Amino acid sequence: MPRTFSFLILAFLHGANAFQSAFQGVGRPVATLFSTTTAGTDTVVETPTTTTASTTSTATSTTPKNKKVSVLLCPAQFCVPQDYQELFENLRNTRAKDNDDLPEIGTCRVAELPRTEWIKVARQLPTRNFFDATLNAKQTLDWYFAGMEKALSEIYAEQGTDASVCIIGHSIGGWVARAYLGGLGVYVLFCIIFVKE
Amino acid sequence: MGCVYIYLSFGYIHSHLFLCVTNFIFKTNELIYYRSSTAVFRLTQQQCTSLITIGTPHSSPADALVDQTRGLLREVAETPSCSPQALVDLGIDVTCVGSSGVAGSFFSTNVEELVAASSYLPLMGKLSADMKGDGIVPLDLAFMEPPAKRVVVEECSITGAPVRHAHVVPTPWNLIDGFAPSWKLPEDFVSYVSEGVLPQWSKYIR
Repeated sequence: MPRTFSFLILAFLHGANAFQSAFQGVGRPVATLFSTTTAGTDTVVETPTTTTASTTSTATSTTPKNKKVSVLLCPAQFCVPQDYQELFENLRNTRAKDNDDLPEIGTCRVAELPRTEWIKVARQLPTRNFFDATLNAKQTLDWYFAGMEKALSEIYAEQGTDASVCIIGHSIGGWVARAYLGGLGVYVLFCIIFVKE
Repeated sequence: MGCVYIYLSFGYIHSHLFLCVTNFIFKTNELIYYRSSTAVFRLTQQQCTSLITIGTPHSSPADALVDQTRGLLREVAETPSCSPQALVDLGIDVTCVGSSGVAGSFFSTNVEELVAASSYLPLMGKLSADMKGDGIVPLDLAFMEPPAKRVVVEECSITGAPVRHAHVVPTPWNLIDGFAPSWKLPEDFVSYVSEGVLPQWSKYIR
């Protein structure tokens, strides 16, 4: 029997997160789904179990001093951009003190979220998912992701699309950034399944 | 002979059952996903070189008294593409920074320790005598699993003061001016962003 391939196209008008639950690896970009390349693994040589700043500084993945890195800060709940000017100021001061560990700091932006935006979370209050504690990031935090993308756009506009970006997440902003980078902020439109008959 | 099947799905159970049946009948072995991602998202997945979280809870234990994120944190923690390994595979250096500066105790006259205890207990579902954190987030929840790096900051290198969760008090009631700065805490109130603390983790900016 000849082996042929059939193509199943699954179109998801909504329910992206359901699809993500169905298969592992869905959050990875298409280009990496079947790739065996793991671009970042060679830069991480440390899996420390120690828990002090001094002992974890043995990381061998170093940053060239002449490298320029822009910073996106994802704020904590109800915090606003001006709250983080102290962080940016201290970051530049640290760099200015001939700190070889730090790259040059490029554009610094905070995801521009007025505290009024947090009211949008209330849209989920009367839902079954809220009471069952099964909220999904895309529906609940779309406004936060939009704020991140606006700030990122400004960074790329100033530094170019080849700019290196460090994302710093404070408190809740840490796992929201993690969700964004993992693809929870975008919809899955459809999927092609290659089937061997 | 190849053929094309088109399938529309409108919900979790429907799509999940269909895919299970498809997998059983046709022995599916390759998948390609197409997403409605933005150009900024795709570019950022390429250009992001490091992710640093400071004072971030990364898990919600089953023993927690209440899931304050109503499932959001669990979704992130359980999604494979959000795992530290997946992020590292994208070329993103992942570092988690937590503080062990503030102990939590209900049997204390120190207001900070009382507040810390009232935060640690619902998050962890228990409160031990040696439980420490930044006053809001207990240290045990502040880290992702390897290959994410773990950095604990305990005190300010300049003043020796313990490292707290934040340097400001948010003012959610101020809805008239959404961008007005939060209340700034006194200078001796040290947090992750303070001058004597920031160099302890900023070295992980890549």
